[in-house]
Amino acid sequence: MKNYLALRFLDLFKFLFNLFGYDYSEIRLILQLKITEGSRRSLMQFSQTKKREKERKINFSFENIFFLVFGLLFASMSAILAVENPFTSFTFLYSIIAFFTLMILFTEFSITFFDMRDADFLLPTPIKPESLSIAKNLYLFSTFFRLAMLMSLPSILFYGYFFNAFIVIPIVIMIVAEIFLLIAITSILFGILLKIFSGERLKDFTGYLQIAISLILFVGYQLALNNEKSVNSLFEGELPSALYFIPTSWFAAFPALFVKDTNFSLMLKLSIIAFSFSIIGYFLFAKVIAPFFEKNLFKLKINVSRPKKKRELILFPKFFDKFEFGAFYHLSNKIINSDRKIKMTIYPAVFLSIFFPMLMLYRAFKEQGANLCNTKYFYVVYILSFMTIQIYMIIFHSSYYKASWIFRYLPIKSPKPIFLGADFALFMRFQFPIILILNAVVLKLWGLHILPELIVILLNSLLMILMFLILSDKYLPFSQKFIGNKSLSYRSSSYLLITFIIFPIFGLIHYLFTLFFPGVYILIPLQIVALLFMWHGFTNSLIWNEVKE
Amino acid sequence: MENVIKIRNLEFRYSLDEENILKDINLDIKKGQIIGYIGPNGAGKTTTIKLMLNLQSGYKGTIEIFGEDISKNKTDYKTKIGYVPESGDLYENLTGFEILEFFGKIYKIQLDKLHNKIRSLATLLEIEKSLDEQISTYSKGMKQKILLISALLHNPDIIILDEPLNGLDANSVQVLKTLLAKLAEAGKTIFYSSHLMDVVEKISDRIILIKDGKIIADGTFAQIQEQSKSGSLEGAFSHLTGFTKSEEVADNFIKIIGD
Repeated sequence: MKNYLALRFLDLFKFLFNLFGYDYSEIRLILQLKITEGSRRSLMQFSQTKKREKERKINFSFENIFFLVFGLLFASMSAILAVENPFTSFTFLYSIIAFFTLMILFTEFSITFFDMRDADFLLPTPIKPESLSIAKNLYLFSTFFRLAMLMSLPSILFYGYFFNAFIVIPIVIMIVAEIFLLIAITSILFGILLKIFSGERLKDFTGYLQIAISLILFVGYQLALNNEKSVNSLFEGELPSALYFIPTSWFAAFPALFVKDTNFSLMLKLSIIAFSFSIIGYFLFAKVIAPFFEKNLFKLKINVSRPKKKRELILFPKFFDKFEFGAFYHLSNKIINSDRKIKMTIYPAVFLSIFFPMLMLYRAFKEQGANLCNTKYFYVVYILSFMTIQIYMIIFHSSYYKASWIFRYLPIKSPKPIFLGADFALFMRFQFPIILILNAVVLKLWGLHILPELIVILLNSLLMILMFLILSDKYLPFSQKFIGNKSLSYRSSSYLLITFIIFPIFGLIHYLFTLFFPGVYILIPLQIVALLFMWHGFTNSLIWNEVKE
Repeated sequence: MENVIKIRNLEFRYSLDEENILKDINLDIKKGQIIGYIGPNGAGKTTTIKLMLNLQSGYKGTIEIFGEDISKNKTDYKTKIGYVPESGDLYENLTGFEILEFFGKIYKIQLDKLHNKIRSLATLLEIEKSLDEQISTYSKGMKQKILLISALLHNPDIIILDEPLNGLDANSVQVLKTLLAKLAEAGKTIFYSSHLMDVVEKISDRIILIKDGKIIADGTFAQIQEQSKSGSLEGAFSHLTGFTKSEEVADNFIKIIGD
């Protein structure tokens, strides 16, 4: 294993570990194992084949570049804000770090702390549990410090240039403090779950909590952007007491102390809060919660069978039984229902797919009022289709990918029913309900007269799904392993991109046909013909020879 | 002969609202013995092993290994233990060599010696060509060989194996059986948990049968045969665990699939 720079840096603090009576060489060795494993896993995995060293390096560099580019994008915003109000700019920076860190932290936290391989392989050896715990803490911290630094580097460079070079020190100190606090908060939430639940239920609730936090953050961020006025008044000093409830402003306060024209007393108080919460939080995590995790790791493996409620989540189940793909439709529904990873990947996408159009409709309604029904804002329904298309890439993956041998073993001439069953299950389970809800809202706001246009949008969306399905690689449903946070292959990602580029053209055609009467009524039959043509193309492409391993 | 493992009145349950998984287990295991620890699924075999390795706390009773209460000495005694876990989930992104090197360093084996040992043992088990590849590319049998090497690399005094033959080919099974016998001859204590009765029957000099968390038979193969009045360990297992309807199950199965 490589002697990483982080390890060599840590060697400088060896004396500290020895001072507190910890076995430094043991901690270093475990950390080396975790870093090696983590660097090859990568937080943003795009490839899922057997990787060679070169490919792994590309992946790791890609991840670094990705966060650096994000940092560059945010730096421009930080710069604009810094000219007006440095404190607002710093708060923006720490909010961005918190947002992205929390989005990934939950997954990384559960991977690091709930790694059953540690219980199976490391703890039976003479490794001291506290060494394992410290190594995991360090690993988690180093991972997020790297990401936070990449994201904030362009902004920090700007601050250094704009204010003075020394501002970099308090900013970096507070990045460390923020990561401490974020890890502590996450650990408390995980600790509560571990205390209450065990086995599969624990894993389920961990997943739900992860989705909930990500969505709350995302929705909160969007709502804040939509309430620009109140956010501005907050940072212009009109509501100083409200800042006590915004944790990211606590961290911004410390570097703000070193900038001219800031409210020194308020910034000092907020800085003290930031330091206190971070130090106490991290101490609580390292001394109480992390050892609690190690002791209770076994709870993940306890399997208490719970009688499952017999409920029919599937729409029109009996109806589909008539078709050849009916059996695969039911099986796919059951796999999706029992595969936590699939649900955790799809649910946020589905939620955001309906959240964004709804948010845009809300904004349009606020702006236009009664005039809304004379506008074309209902085109936001396209956004839903645009965003949900990615779920068709997830269907190749499953936690139970090894069980996919069953599809190949079955004596069926064509893989058509397997693919159709899985794709249909996805459509009926995830896409159809939200299409129904959004269209109902749109119809309520605009009235029945736009129904033909909504039909055009639905047909365009179906065309886009089919186009993507025709283009995408024909892996058997549920046959590929999930790796990292995402499991999109390069090829599938590029097909998705092509679909995204073509989709606005569909929207444009739709718009052009609305410019004359009876344009929409001419378009609908044309779309149906195109749909039948593409359906034929799609089903014909489903042959065993085309199916990839 | 000295006791290397001594278990007294061991009881364990995962949560208060559950029944005990282990009920009053008492064991004395001597140096150089090969113990075949058998029982039906869910009998408590893996739980016993986890308690012996201090992977689970909250048990009642005492476990002494090398004369020391393991609840007091939580890690040091493990330097003399080698363990092959039931689950074959290794760190998939590491290479076989990296994993073995890690274990060797944990057991503080001198680096030059360690590297030689790894290469030589891997050559003996015919996985030397794959040592520098990631574990994710390994077959089940290759992973099992890595696990075996990692458990034996530091020449432990007690070897605990939980279903060690998973995925191994016939030749490797033969090698392992011979290896275990020779390790026992050299004074190593082997605690072998498995479902494979024929292997347990052949290699064990003492067989312990556990059912529903209780030891229901403990002795040599001959003694177990005597107790169950059965010719094979498989027969003795069925007799002692109260499972006598295999014929009936098979007949009904054939009847149903033929309908």
